[in-house]
Formats: sequence, structure tokens, C-alpha cells
Amino acid sequence: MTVTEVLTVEIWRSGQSQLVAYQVPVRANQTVLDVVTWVQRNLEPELAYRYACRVGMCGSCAMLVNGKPRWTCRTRVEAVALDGRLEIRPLRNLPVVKDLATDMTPFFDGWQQADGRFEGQERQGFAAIPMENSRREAASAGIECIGCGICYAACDTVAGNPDFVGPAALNRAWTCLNDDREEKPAKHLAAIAEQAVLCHSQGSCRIHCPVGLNPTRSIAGLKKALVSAVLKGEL
Amino acid sequence: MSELRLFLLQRLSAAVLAVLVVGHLTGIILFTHWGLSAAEILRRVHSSLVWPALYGLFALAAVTHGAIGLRAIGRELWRGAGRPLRPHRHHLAWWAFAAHRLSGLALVLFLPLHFAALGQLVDQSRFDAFLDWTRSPVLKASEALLVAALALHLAGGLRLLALEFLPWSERQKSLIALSGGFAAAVSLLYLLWGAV
Repeated sequence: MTVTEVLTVEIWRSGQSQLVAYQVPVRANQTVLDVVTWVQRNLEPELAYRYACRVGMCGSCAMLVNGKPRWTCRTRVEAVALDGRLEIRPLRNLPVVKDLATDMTPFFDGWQQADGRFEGQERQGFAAIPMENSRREAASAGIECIGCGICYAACDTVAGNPDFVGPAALNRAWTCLNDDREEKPAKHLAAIAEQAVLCHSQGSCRIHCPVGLNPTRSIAGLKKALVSAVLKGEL
Repeated sequence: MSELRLFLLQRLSAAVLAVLVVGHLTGIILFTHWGLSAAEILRRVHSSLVWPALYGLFALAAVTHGAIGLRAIGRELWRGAGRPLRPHRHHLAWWAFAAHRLSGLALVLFLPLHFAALGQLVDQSRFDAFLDWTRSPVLKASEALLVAALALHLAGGLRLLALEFLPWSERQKSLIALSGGFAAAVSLLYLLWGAV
């Protein structure tokens, strides 16, 4: 493949606490993850970053690309480096392990705290819950989360309140609550009662979610469920 | 108080305020056009117990709503969440959030001045002199900004109540545009008819 152009890529180096510029050859259909990998293999062997599947399934390669949180394996350079520049930083709202690799512990602790754990029995038989069941539709709409942490990085409510478990954890709680096989829905609701109400519906989670989920909608559903539980005297 | 209780109190006060603010905005535009005097306000307040009760409820709801709102703003500023504009915020719903915060802040800062002005009603001639003073062009312009903030906060608040408590609508962008349009229309109505 012929090299036609050079891209200027600024990458956050945590050792120096600054952005460092690298020149990377432009290739056709190059992804941002390709660029980071090229820098690590050719210019900066000590550069730390994280990836696994490279096809948008594992959710491990999310970074801030020109200020926006993105899955770097499915982000083409030509779609984001409009002026031939790329600025790559680690995800926001999370501690940095090194360079572009963040410590995802606060993100996944939120899932535990929001009780994103299905408790019930698998039902036997095909389509034990009908496809057109509205609660099943609500659960299905939120189920494809890959746990990449992009919504957590995009959320200003997380930035303003470290006790907030974040959009993905609440989206997960919403899918559990709508699962008819779930045996302890009240426990799920109690776990998020002090959490869902912290959301200010800024919608950045929805805008940036790479798989097109809408956590803002899921959290609005949780708020409705909470108010209804309070009115019935259950909370 | 728990976050859940504060949330319920905030939304309950919002629902009460939504009804009262519609009346208040109508009153502002009508009475600025027709002319207002201390005697007129006092006659209304003394006419029946309904008016003092409504004003009392209005003040209570506004103070509750403003205090909880200030707490949220304080937390955001304290943690630096409000620091300069960042690319991940470049979308309409975030701008609607920012407009709701800024209009809310303007209103909550104005509220003590509003109460102080109403406090002058104990001396009718002083209050009427104060009303004369507010007829200057600069004051009229600032009033128009306050009317815009009130209308924007009302429309934005109704949108949020609908988002949270009605079935989800995919037309959030249209609703945001509609609330902006409502605020613009109300402040233009105030400037072109009410304040003339």
C-alpha cells in the first residue's frame, strides 16, 4: 500500500502528563485503533493502551478521540480527523493506569451497586415470554450493552458526583427490572432508588453510545417506576 | 434528606410552579400593558383569602425549587463539571440542559430582589415610585430578559416532566426547539405589546 499523506496524532502520555505528537502514515480505511497500534509498534513501544476483539464486541478500546468518547476499533480516521489532526486521550471520569489505559473499577463497581444481576429461573420452551410483551421490548432495547464505559466518560453527572453509578449500570438495572423471569424486582428498584434520580437527562450517553442504546430513556423509565412505587407505599 | 425525597420534592414543586407560572406570565404581560399600582395589588390581596393563599404557595414552591436547584448547581461547579465547553457536549439536549441551569440560576438570584420589591408594598407611595423607576428602558430590557428566562425555564421544565413521567417520545429535539420557540414568543409578546 502506498503512503500518500502523514497524519499528526497527539497522544496523552501519563508519565510526562502531556500530549506528545507523532507522525503516522495515512492508510485507506484506517481506524483510530490502527493509528495507536502503529505508534506503539513503530515509534513508542512503551505506549500503554487496551484492546481485544478489534471488531466492536468486547468494549475494551474506548478512548477520547478529539474530545469525544469513541470505540476506536470502529472509528475510521477519515471520519473524525477532518483537519488531518487527531488528539487521543484516555476515557474521562476514570483513573488512568497508564497513557490510554483507564482503570474501569469505578465503572463496574457501579454495576454491582445498581444490582445489575439477574436473579431468577430460566424458563423452558421457545419464547416463554411473548415477543410483543411491552416489558420484554423495554428490556430488549437496552440489552446489547458491551460495557465499554463510553457513556460513563460522556456523562457530566458522573463528573459532578463520583457517587453516581452512571448510565450503563442504570440501563442494566432497567433491563433486569423488565425481565419477567426476574424473581426480585423490588430489590432491583431499591438498589437504584438513590441513583436514578441523580440523572439530569443531558442525553450525552445516548448521543455517544456506540451501539445506539438510549440509557437516558432507561433511566427515565426507572424514575417512573420509582414514583409509582413511592405512591403505592412500596418504597 | 435522601436523594429520592429531594427529587420528589423538586418535581412536585415544579408541577405546582408550572401551573402558577403560566398565570404569572399572563399577569406580567397584561398588567405591564394595562399599568400596575400598589393599590391594585393590595385590593386583590385583600379581596379574598384565595389570593394570599396562592401567593404563599407560589413563594413556598419557588423557594423549595430554587434551593434544591442551587444544591445541584453547586455540586456541578464544585467538581468542575461545568468547566469550559468540551466536544462531547456539542448536542442539543446538552444545550437545553445548560439553558435550564442558566435560566434557573438567573431566576433564583432575582427572587430575593423580587421579594424585597414586594416588601415595599407596606408603603403605597414608595411602591408606586419604585414602579415608575422600573419603566426606564434599561429596566424594561432587563425585565424582558427575566420574562425570557421564566418562559424558557417553564417550557424546559414541562419538557423534563414529560420526559420523566410520560411515555418516552423520540421527538426530544423537536420538543427542545418548541420550548425555545415558546420562550422567544413570550418575550417578544412582552416587548411588543406588554411593555408598550
